[in-house]
Amino acid sequence: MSERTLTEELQSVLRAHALDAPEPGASIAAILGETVEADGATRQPRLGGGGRLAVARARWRAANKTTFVAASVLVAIVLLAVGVRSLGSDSTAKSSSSAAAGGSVAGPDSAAGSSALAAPSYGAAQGLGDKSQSAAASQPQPSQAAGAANSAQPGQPPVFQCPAGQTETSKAVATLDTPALKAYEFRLMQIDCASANGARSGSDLSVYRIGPSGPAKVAQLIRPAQGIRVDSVAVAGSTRLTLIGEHAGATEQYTYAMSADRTILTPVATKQLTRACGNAAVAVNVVPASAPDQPGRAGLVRVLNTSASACNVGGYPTIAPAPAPAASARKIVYTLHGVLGGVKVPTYSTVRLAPGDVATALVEAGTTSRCAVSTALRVIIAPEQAAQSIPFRISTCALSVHPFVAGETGND
Amino acid sequence: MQTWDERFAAFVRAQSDSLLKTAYLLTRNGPEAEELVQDSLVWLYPRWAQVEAAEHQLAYVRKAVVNRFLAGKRRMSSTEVRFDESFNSVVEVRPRPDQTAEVDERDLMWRELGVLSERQRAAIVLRFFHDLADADVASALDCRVGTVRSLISRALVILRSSGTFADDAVGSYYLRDVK
Repeated sequence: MSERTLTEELQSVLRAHALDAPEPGASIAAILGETVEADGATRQPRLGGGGRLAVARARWRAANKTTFVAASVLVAIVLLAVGVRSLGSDSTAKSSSSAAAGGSVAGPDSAAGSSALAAPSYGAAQGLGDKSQSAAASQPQPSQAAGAANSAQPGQPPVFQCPAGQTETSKAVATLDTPALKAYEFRLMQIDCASANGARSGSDLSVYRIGPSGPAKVAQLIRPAQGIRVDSVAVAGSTRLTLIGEHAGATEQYTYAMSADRTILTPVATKQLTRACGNAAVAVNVVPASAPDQPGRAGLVRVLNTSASACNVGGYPTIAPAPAPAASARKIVYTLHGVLGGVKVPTYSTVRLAPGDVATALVEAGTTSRCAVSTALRVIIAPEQAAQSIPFRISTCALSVHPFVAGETGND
Repeated sequence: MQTWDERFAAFVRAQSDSLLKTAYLLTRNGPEAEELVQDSLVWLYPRWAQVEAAEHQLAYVRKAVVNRFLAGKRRMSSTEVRFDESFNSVVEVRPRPDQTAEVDERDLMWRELGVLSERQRAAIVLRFFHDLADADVASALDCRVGTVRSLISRALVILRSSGTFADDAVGSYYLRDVK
């Protein structure tokens, strides 16, 4: 018997997928940047984004405080040297020279200390034209964490990198009228990444300060890791910012309250507009698709909303033929379109199913002869749903699956 | 004699890879795994004396990661977002390539792992990836051993539906009370 046991297979799957965990380099840099390299600013527990904000603020204050101390020391030394010189005697001149030498030693040390403390301030001084900070502090040397993944450099577009193989789209979605901060314009920018099979990653929605030295990211409302794909952003009057996006198949609305000067955005409500379709809300079957002259060539995974309220279905159904084909034929590809149909746009959309509505996803097999034919397809309509076994005969060679689209055809 | 910071940094450098693997199996998402590990270690930093006092430091930190995972991810930050002219509040965590995306879709058992509840998944990862005894899993999850066995047996029932498997002693042990 070559069949694996359940626990062997489970351990194998876990070990195989553990290899896909992120490389530790970036995390190590970020952790050390926020702890041992943070000048004591994080000795207190950190609580999510607020904590990170507090760290940034503490660093900025620390940089300014050190700059102030360094400047005070330099001024004191200069005053001391001038005072000593004014005495005019050789002996005091010698002593003055000594004090100046002392100053010249202390100066660079102070400046270096100042610069080193200013360094981890996330490059804050770079885009400012440096109105307030000393020359020493205005030469930030980004820390490892900030240097690895920081926002814009002066005159350069915001740093953002989609994962390999994904394409990036970015757009300005709103301009924030900030009367208290007249020197700059603040824009809300959305950046999305999409893979070749049309899957969008979570959106990055951030506030950028647009200044003479270029855009700089100053706050982040939605992080890619949250997995929210933002579809629309609206500024309602001067008090509310509303986002509508899709998260885990559901359409949700996120509302932020804006402060009077529009520089503080406080999340106030999350409302689900449309839930994701679960197995209990829909009837799933597989019906023959086109190519009637080639039985077993294609099928449509058909999802009918049998519930009393609307729900979303989107992306690709996961399928597996049963009985499982030989290993050589197991590869199933998920593509936007194939020979018999699919979607023609670069990213697929979530389909909203009102009660009684239908969405379909086309499954097509290759034309290779002598392939095993399945007696059933195991179908998962959404990531969090259990598999359903549906009787259907289809060739198991070169199976390709296309995204759900509204209607009965599997084509957009 | 190493300082506190040096010992913390050494631990982070040595164990981040292992912790990221655990976090990835729990969250099933690269950026979320990174965030979970980063948040956990930054949170533990001011409490590092407690970690060093623990018998098994890695187990202590792993427990913190698991508890943080089980505490739930906030989909929306509950804290306000402020900005002004003078500082950037953001260190951007770049999304990393999720090389499993296509594999996931072909891998029913991996997908079925995603169907499990978070506690079931945590129990499965600790028991079958880290090879921890039930008692150690119970300690990590702050529950009784019987609860761990129940979590694992229910999870295995779900995972068993992803294919046909040969009998095995370990699986049978957990599934013995399941019809």
